[in-house]
Amino acid sequence: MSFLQIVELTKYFGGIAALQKLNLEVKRGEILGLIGPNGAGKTTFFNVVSGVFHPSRGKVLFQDKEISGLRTSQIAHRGIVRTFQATSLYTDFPVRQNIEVASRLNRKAGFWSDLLNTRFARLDGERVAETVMTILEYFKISHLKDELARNLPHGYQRILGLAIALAAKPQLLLLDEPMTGMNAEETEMMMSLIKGLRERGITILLVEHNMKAVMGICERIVVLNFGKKIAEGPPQKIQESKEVVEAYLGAERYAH
Amino acid sequence: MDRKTGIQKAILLAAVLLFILLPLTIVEDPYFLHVLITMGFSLIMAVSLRQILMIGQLSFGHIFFMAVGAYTCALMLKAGFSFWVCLPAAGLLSGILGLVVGLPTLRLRGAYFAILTMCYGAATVPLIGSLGFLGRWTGLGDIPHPTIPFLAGSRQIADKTQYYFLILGLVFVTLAIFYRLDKSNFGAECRAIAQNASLSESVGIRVTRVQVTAFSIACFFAGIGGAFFAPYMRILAPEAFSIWHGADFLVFTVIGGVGHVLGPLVGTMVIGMLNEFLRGYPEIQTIIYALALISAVFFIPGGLISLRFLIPQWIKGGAPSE
Repeated sequence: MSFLQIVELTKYFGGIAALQKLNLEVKRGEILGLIGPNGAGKTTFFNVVSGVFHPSRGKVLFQDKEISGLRTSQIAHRGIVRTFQATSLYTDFPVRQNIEVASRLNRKAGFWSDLLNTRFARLDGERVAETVMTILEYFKISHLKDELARNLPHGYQRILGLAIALAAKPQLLLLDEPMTGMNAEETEMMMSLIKGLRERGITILLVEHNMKAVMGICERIVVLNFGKKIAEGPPQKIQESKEVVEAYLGAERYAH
Repeated sequence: MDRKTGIQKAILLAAVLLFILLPLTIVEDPYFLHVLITMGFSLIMAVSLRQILMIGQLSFGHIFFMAVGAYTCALMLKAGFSFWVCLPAAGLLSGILGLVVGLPTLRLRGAYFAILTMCYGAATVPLIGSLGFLGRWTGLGDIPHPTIPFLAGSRQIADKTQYYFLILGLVFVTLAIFYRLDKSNFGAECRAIAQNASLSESVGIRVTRVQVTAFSIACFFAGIGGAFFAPYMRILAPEAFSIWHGADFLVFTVIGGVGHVLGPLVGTMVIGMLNEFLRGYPEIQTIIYALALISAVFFIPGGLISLRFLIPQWIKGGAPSE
């Protein structure tokens, strides 16, 4: 059974093809990097896979079942969770509640049990609260649990974004530029956190501009430009690829 | 039970006792009871409207669902049904209508949803006026009083005091239910959706389903409010359901504060009392009322119940943190 299969994926915005006949496969348990210059279609790709957009043509298959066209929450139920390029949190909630409310997929109590506060709901709530603390401890932010999300420094906010995604029990995690705005030390920490997630059995698809991070943690890299795949392979091969270098530096060549 | 919760429960108990004993001991003036009863069903409208605000949406059409409840109850009472059948039926019909209206409209983003609610809110009065079985513009009259089956001889509710206790009971149940809603995971998800809908979707919260559920519940209680309104007023005229009366409920909710279930209670009572006080000064009534509302929104944007956070900070001498 394939894990994530992208078949001839095409997405038009008006007359512009953001993605063109993209074919791609993500294998279970790997960390796959997705790189490319700005405007290459990386975030559009994430948006299509996570259900924000419908594909214009082509299909997205997760565990051999088609998910193209499903709503984002339905795709999350299937096991695909994404993070956001711009920091996206529950700014008015404390850190602990951010994780708690994102634990919807971890809860067993239904609408009525929750409303009537039955014993089943209370026990379920306690179990979820323990999981929330475990997640906070894993990311080493449990000391911030009562701090409002909007008061956190930037680096911690990015980590919280990752923790929120983890609370949704993903099988496949789509990380959209998680290292944005991080210094070298924070980047190192994020890299080891991501590797740690893979140890826990989560497959990761990483979009990132920080090349050191990408080359450091991805086993395989796919390069996009103008909505098309222009290269694919292990980091070594990508670094040596003429097409990739041209794609990133191409504009400079014509600048003079 | 820690000290803070203990104090809160004591205050709550005292308040409940006060409301129960009020008409029995101190107050017998029917006008004063009328004011309280009006606050009562306004409160049911305000606190149910609050639930819509809690999912991050703004509704100017809540009065429509009150009208649905009111006319349903009126027609059923005139047809001979017991009030205790009419009440839940009216609520149910309003709730189902809320489901029907909410499903397509809640997908719309903020401003568009609000405008749509304004449309059906404003359409309420002309709609009633055009329907023969609702009495058109002359109104629907002779609505029978509710009967209490358990007391000896099945007495009819006839005087203000009895209506007061009826609305007191309904208010109590309504507040309890919305309080429970707030404390549940469902309530937390409503607040989450209001803050960040796309993040909520991505972690598996069924945003549309939660919004439609909250909206339907709000409409159900609007129907309950209307169902009380019908026999109490004895006559229903379309003008009672104008969009401006609907705006009153919004004012009570926002001024009182959206952050807590008791916010609309505070808002309804404070503005209600302000209105009564100003009745003696017709010349400046409108100006003072307007100034009061503008000041409240300007200085206390979180509503009057947010003062419970702000006042301790003012006393400590620091500026309130935003």
